[in-house]
Amino acid sequence: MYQRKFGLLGNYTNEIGLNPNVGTWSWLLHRISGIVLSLYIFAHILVLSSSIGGSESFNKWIGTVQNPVFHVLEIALIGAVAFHLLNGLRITITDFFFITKAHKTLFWIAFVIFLVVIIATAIVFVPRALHHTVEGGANVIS
Amino acid sequence: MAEKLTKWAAWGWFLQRITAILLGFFLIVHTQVLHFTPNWKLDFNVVTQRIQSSSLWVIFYGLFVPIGLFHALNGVWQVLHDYRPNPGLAKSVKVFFWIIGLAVSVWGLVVLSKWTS
Repeated sequence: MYQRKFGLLGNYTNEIGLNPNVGTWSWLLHRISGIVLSLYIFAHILVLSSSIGGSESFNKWIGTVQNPVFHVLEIALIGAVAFHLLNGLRITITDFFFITKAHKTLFWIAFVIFLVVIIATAIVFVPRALHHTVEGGANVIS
Repeated sequence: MAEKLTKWAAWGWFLQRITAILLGFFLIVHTQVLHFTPNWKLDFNVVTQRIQSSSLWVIFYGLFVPIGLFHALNGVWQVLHDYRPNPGLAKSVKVFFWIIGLAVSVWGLVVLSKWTS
């Protein structure tokens, strides 16, 4: 009833207003990243399906996503995966080992690992985006 | 009926965590091999060479796709279930998700087979 009364977004904003702590924020971000990644998995399979049309068809599709914009989006994608994975691991550890009291500490440990992953990803992907720009082509496949 | 629903919800909760652990392994390997490598420019031949280099890759992706789809659809289902849809709608959505999950899993295997032949 609570959910119906406040609706989808109203429920979430109200939940954060009532419990403004890391547990609520991680719950909300876990849901958002989960829904985004669920949509992504279907888009990813759709792009890979171009292989049914043979190598030319696949190379054409994969060429369109190997450009500076998509390299930057890949950082966001890996960020969403890393957050969802690390927070999911935190939830699993908390559930399976009955250590609910430690959930906030686990969140901050997960968050530090997440930041390390994001920095490492940016170090790898930003030069790739610039590499494409330097070569002046979106479809640079050697 | 209520007991049956609770049992299913418990399995959904449990399998979501088991698939999460498996996906953690799959995603780290997949990302490492495809993105965090000097040879990051992909084309059909690069993918073919990698998948045909070992039958373990076929098993890897043959499991990765259905497990990923289960985790995704079960997760979305759990989000929707929080809004307490009426039993008829809930059943329809569950059946729809199972059909989509199974169909896309089979489709994923068909796509994978293009690189193995």
